[in-house]
Amino acid sequence: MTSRKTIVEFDAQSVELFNALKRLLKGSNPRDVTNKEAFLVALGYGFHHASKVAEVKRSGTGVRTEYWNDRDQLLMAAIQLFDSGKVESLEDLDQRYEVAERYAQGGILLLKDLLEREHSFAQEFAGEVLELLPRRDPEF
Amino acid sequence: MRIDQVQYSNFRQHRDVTLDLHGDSGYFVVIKGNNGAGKTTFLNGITWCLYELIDEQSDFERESLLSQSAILSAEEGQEVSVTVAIDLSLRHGGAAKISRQYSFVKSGEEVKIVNKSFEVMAMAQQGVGFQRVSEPSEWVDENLPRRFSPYFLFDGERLDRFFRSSDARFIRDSVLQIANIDVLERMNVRLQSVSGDLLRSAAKGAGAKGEELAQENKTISDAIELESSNLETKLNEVQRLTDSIQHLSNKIGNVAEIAADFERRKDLAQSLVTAQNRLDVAEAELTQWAVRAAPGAMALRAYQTLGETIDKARHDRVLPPPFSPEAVAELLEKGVCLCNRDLTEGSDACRHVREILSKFQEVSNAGSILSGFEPHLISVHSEIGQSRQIADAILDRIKISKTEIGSLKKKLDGLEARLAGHSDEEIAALHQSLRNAEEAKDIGQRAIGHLEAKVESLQNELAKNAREIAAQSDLSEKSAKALKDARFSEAALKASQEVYQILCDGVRTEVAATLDSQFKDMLWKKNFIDKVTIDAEFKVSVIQNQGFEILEKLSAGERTCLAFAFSLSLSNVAGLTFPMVVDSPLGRLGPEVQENLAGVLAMKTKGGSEDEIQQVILLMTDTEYTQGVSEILAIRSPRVFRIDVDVANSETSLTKELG
Repeated sequence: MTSRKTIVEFDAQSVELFNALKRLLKGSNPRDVTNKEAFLVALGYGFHHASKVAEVKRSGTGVRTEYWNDRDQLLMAAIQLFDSGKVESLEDLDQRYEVAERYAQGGILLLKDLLEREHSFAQEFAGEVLELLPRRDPEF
Repeated sequence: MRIDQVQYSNFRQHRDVTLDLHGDSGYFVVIKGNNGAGKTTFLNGITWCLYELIDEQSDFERESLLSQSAILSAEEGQEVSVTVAIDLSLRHGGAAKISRQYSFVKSGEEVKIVNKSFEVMAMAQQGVGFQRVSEPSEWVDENLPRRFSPYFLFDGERLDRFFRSSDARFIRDSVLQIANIDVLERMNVRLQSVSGDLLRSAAKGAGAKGEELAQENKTISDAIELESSNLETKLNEVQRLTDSIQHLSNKIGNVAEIAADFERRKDLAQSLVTAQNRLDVAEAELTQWAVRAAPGAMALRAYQTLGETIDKARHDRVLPPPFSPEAVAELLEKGVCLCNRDLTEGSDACRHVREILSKFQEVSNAGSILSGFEPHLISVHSEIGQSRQIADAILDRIKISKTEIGSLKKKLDGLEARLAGHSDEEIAALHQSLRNAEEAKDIGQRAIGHLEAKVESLQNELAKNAREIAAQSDLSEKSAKALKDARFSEAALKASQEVYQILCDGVRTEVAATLDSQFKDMLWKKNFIDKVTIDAEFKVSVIQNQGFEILEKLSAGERTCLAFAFSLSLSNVAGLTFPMVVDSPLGRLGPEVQENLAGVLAMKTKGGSEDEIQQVILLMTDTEYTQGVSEILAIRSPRVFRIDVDVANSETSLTKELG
């Protein structure tokens, strides 16, 4: 299973938003937030809120495909399967990346308002993630 | 003696305040008010009016006396004055009006002092009318001696340190002056001088040798006078330094808590930084956690779908089985199954197996992918399960840090409020001043020792010279007569010195006895103190039952009693009842001791005849003038005033409370 894509891209109009997301998620941490982490956060956010754009404008900026590991592929494949409803779709890697790009763009656009609340972004975002996790049952 | 009225005009926050104490209830007065309302300013106004001192210091900032609102409302170039006027009732119907005034001119935002005046109008007895006193300072020093003032104008905040650093010389001077014995001391000096003159007269009549001895006597006497004067100067200097050390020690004592608060503030600020750092770290960790957990948490439904798809594929047996399809193909080629069933081409079983292999091929690609995801999905499930626990642990740390920060900030705010207007530098400067004063005192004391030795040596020389003059004078009749006069004068001096010493010892003994009985009477823990003594050096000692000296170990309440007892003892010796003004008399004491001491103050100052009633003015906070204290003081039917400060214009008002 191969892909013609070499980069899973940010939308050309959202590169700055992804940079802002990276900056705010870094906070006081010494380590920078990578493009991949920012993309996955936006992807998760877009999927959770069912926000998927019809098309992503190419920017040439994003995450090189060789950086995706098995876990990342699992996430994107799960979303791809949920999105298509067809198990056979899993064989189409290009489609998997495309679906991921469209959800990530949907997610980053939704995050735009939250990103503007710079000081409280990290806390509010973490709070939203916490709300999604079950409190006691370790088996979700 | 009693204070009938005190009028404050532009004196700090007392812009226009009159304390009217006429009438019977004016003998026992309570002025109550919150901290900062201006109670201490009442006392400061009295000491400034009488002695031109503020906080026992003469080098205070003059401009600081003037009311801020008076400065603000004055126009450029306008003269504004600060005045305190005290009306006193004296014995035998006499009275006095004492008034001190500083005048300032406003220049820009500042004021400059342009004039000072001090006036006493006195009336020796009722009906003779007031007359201006030509030497007002002397009049005040005679009637309300400055040296005696610490014993009737009390700052209660310092009472617990009373006597600790006051040296014996100070007490001696106070006692002797109040008993008018210091007059005898001056008489002795005069007699000494006359005696010397007579001796030299005798010598001069005894020829050339006598002339020489007289000259030598004069030289030695002058040297003694000079060195004695130097010694007196030095003693006064050391006394001033002792006063200064006491004052600084008091101030440092008062700011000791403030200094400790500064240290606590440093510690708290450091703890706050540490707690804030912990919070920052925990919040950063939470963000990191969110970055890691968000995609998975938000894609839970997708993972769930994937999991269900895998389960269904397993149920439908479309996942790659744990055997090789090539092995089945091999059986087909052999034409026989492992169970010996016929698998030859065209057989039913062969067709069926070929169908399974074909179907398997169709789904095997997706099945392989699903199968590859399965272990990762299990791992992700497990991580998401633990993710909440990790987040909760971080959240706990955040919560603890925030609680700690909240508590530290609250403490810090409280400290900041207490420390408003103070600075580390101010405290360091106080300590430096104290060290300087102590060093100067040490140097002064060494100089005193040196001067005393010098005076003693000179006196020995003078005695030798006197013996030589006596021997020489015996040779001449004229000289012998002069010598006889000199010896008579010397005998008179000796007798006078003995009388002085007897009186001195008598007064000291009387003060000590009164102090002993007053103090023991005041104490609520009876039979605990054996005696209070004042030794020949005028050092006060408190001896407890087992014979130990415990002056330094007295509690704050006991020390306060001792101070009051000393004040009453001096009044007793002087035969006068000085008005007693006490600022914060009960401030540092516990509720029970407060009530005991209130009872002591009320009862011990009650007196018999009008001249014996001790006027007492108590400046108290609400925490001092409690229900219990007010009930105890009620036996003296006090006149109670309430002092309030209008924060907007920093002006006080005084209201008489209804009994």
